Amino acid sequence: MHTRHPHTTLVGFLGILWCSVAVALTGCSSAPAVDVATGARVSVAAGMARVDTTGYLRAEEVRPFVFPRDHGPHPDYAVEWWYYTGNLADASRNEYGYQFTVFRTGLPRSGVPHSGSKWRTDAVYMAHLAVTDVSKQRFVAHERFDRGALGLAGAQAEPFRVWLDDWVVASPDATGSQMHITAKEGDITLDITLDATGPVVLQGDRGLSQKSAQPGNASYYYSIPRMATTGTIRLGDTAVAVTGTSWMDREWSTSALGPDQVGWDWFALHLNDGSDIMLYRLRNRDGMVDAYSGGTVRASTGIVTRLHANDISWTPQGTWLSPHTQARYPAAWQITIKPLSLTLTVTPSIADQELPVTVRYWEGAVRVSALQNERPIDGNGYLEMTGYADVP
Amino acid sequence: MIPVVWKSTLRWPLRRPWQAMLAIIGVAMGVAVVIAIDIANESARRAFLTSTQSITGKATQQLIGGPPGIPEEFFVRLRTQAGVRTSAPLIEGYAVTTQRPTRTLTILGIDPFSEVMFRPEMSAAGTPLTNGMASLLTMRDSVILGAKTAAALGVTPGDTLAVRIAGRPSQMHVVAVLTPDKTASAALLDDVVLTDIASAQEMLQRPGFIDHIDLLLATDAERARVQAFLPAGIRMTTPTQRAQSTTEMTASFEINLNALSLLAMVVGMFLIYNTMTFSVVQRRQLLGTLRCLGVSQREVAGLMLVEGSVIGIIGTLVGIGLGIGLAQLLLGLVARTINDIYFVVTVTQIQVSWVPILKGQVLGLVASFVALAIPTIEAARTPPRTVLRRSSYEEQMMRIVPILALLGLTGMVVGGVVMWQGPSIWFSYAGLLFLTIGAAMVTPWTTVVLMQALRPIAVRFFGLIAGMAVRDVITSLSRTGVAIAALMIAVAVTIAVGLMVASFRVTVVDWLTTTIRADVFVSAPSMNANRLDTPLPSGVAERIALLPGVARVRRYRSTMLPTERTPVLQIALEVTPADYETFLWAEGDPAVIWPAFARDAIIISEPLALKRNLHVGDTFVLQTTTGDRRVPIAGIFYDYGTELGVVMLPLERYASWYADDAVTSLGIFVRPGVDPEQFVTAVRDVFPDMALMVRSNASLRATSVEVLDRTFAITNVLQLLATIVAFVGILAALTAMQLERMREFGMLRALGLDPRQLWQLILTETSLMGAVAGLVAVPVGTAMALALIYVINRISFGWTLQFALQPHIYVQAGITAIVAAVLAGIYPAWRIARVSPAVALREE
Repeated sequence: MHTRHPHTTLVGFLGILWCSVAVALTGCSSAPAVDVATGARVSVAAGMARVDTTGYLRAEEVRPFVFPRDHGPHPDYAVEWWYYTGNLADASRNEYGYQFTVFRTGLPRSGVPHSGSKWRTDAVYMAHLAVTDVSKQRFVAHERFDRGALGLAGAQAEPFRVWLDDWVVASPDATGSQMHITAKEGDITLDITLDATGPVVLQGDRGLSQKSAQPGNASYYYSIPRMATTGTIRLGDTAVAVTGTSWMDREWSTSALGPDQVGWDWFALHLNDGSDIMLYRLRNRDGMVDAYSGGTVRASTGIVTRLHANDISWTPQGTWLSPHTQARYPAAWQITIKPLSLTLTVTPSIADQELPVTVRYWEGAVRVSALQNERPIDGNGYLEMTGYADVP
Repeated sequence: MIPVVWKSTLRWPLRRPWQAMLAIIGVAMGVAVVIAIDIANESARRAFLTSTQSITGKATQQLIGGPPGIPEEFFVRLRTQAGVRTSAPLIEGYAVTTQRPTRTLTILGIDPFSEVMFRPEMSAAGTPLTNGMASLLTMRDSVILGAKTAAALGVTPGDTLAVRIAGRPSQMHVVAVLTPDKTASAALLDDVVLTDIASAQEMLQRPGFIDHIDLLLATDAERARVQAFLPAGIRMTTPTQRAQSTTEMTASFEINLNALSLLAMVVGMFLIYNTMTFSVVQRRQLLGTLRCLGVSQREVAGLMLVEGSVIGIIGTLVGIGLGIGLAQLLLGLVARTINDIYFVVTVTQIQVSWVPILKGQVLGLVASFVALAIPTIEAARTPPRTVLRRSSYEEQMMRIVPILALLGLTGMVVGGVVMWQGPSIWFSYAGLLFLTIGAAMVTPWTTVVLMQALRPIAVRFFGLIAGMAVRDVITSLSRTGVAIAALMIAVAVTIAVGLMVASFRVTVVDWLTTTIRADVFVSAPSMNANRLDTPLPSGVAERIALLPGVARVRRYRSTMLPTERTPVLQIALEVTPADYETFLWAEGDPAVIWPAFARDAIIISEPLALKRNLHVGDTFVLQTTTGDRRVPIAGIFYDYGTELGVVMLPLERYASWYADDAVTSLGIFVRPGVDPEQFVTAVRDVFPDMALMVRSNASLRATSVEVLDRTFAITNVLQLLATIVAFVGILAALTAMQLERMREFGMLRALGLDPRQLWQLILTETSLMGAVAGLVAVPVGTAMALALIYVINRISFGWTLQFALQPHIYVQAGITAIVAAVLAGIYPAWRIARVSPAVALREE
């Protein structure tokens, strides 16, 4: 389901509404000088009910996925994203993490669609770029908005290419199995090549990720959990050669966050035994875990196990107080996946990986120590925690 | 002792309040005119700069393109290839509201995603986000207004605003109203319409282009990198450079208005001088007594200075108030001229700052003290006895008159030399001032000479009373002299301005006849009355060429061309041998010019040549889309269309150099037998939906002259103000003089002069004064006109005007002088005639 459906609504739609539509009003620049947190709180509550999705399709039934076509955009759905996260290391075994995310949001289609101007569009793009330098305990993130017009920002399937200005993820050929990310802003640069080492994993029911009981409240969701990654990463003056593993997530839909859902926690983990784990935990206003939480485990054998809310037990460990937003996030996680007798301890590589963007959230590199049938397995991955800076 | 002295002098103005009042009015009006012009100019300039600021925001650099703008693809390349993220595209345009009173709104087409880096002040913290705001991107013609503008227009979100854009009726949908938290920021939104760049392209019909790109480049390295990325035709400039070169366009206009306003001040000075001299003369007896009682010269001088300063200060304060009010009235005229001739500025409110007020204050006080100097010395030198009566003072005056005249003549000569040889426009004006004051100093002597010559004739033909009147003018010269001089200056200014405007009109009408030859003209409406730089919709020229009755269609493309200095008007046009005679050459031989023009040269207008000291054979740099080109100048033609200067080149060459095949206007020659007015209707019928301006030759000429007249409207207002100041002066002088002679008139009445004869005496006297003023004003005014036409106009604007000697201007001026003087004599005559001789004799 909608691991990040709420996320979509939150970051994608509202962020865009917030910034673009209100003439970049209170400051959705990448400059973190503005009081974004307050703005975000207002916007989450106020904007949620106003989502106008007239003119867009909903994810109602299972559909066939065809690649590389489905790597490209699905403009009939209001919301879509390309999500790349990865854990990298240089020759001296210094660890790095990165996040490169592009969101497409469809604006209400009640206006006049045809126009005498090429600037006219109903697609708005937003992207986040973040780099973590574990050894230096540094985390830097930037945000961009652009209109999906004139080639300023856009997405295409063949050859695969998604971009905002000079932030680009693209395939060198039509197969789409290799992807290249180049993004530069301020003192960070990401220049990496990703090669899929395993197959695509269709999340939920054959790629239809149901959000609630109501048909259509769902998304199409697939992942390429394991992509061998090489390239260079720059944080400050020096660029370093890095290698590691990335995770790609793709999702598109036309639906909004339920009124009771206040946030979520999402895990994309690589274990050293070759298995890949995706888990999401939706939190309701009453503090309970939503019944539509779940996840997927793909073993190194290729066997995919779908997990439901009941299969997982989550235990946040301690709290980390954000010095930027005063929000309290779980400092670490203890998770048990009952059907697989797997216990995971997930610890952030560095504590402060809260993104200073329009709608604040925490997303960063994590270390994993797992125990399966008393056998220890190490790993790493990415954790996303949202809604903590929003809740009053 | 001292308190009594002070009391005695203080009582004087209090006993004659009207006299002090008139002096105050003189100062006040002079100060008011100076301040008003200053404030009006500055308000217009500041309104323009504010609008520029709201347009440039925080940008450090700006990219500007050729005439059609920057191709939008370039912006995409700048972002995606060069990775210049701190860049924002912008489209500017104008809309005029249809509701009355109309307002000109600046349309600012922005890309909201790029904006936050540049114009955060346009952000509106606390503005509730609604889905309506999303409409800015998705909805056609959706706009955001500042709260103040929205209130002034009476619209709220959800309303529709009817406007005209380039003459076309259009609608704007207000989707939001911004209330910036800082007032300084709020001013930036005054009369600004924010819209998405897509809507701006649609509204302004400019698909494919943007006006400029704002950049935020922190380092030289970044600037160099962007510079290296620029293709030919796109240039980097700074917002201040751009704004400056635009405001500099009005420099000459402002200087000339300031100079004219100073004229009112000069006339005002005469008034102060007049009043103070008068009060000294009147008080000679008192002052003599004071001196007898032991009051020193210095104390007497101090008394006079205090009295004069009180008048100066009160006058200045009143002048400030009047000036601010007057500024509001003049602002409309100033703004209209700037809009007609220079650039679009929307300004409805004056902005009062300290500088013009301080300037006016200082000027008012300095003028008061300068005017006070002679009377003060005169008062201080009063001998300590009471016997020196006015008659002895008049005798003294008669001795001074020739010396004064000699000084005046010297002043005029110096003025003339300074004017011709002066290195700048201010020297020319200083020369004109010398000339004026010199002429004023000669006036008393001229009066004496004229009166002495007139006296025998007057006595013989008009009888005793006429003779008395003539003699009285001479014997009261201490008071009549200054009044006559002030009136003379005002009348001379009337003559000079009248002759200048007439010369201008004659020259322009001649020029229009020569240059405007086509029968019908077609253009797209634009914001400037004399600049037609809005492209015609494509296909219009072709369709018109196919209409029956068309002999030939001549195409023009006008653009504003940025140069290293102020922008100039660039006109690309088609020239055939038939068009050769439509040019009048200031420099160059047509036999050489035309082949060169066809080959590779350009021709430029006289103002451009004069301002930049260019001659035939020099080169001029054209910043074209295909790079900078150094082009030879083949000829310099007379042009009175714009003082900014005109560059002309063949249309075909323009199209290839600027990669622009747009056409902005058409000159259509119809076949013999076709009625141009009917053809105008025919063209309008072919394009019923387009906002085309279709005008016949006659109506285009009429419009041009109308714009010209509008330009001089403010000149006429200033001239009128100077005349009013002078009129007040002469009224003051005559009233004081006549009332002072109450006893003398009483005596005359007692000797048998009836009231009718008394009327006759006084009015003859005042009309004689008016006649002298008018007579002297003829040569002086003509000299001033010559100075204005051949020196000041040429230096300021670069125009060669034909001098048009129009007798009716002199006649008008003479009548004005006499009527003013007679009017000024009516009140004193009426008062004196009413008083019975006995009462009059009992006075004192």
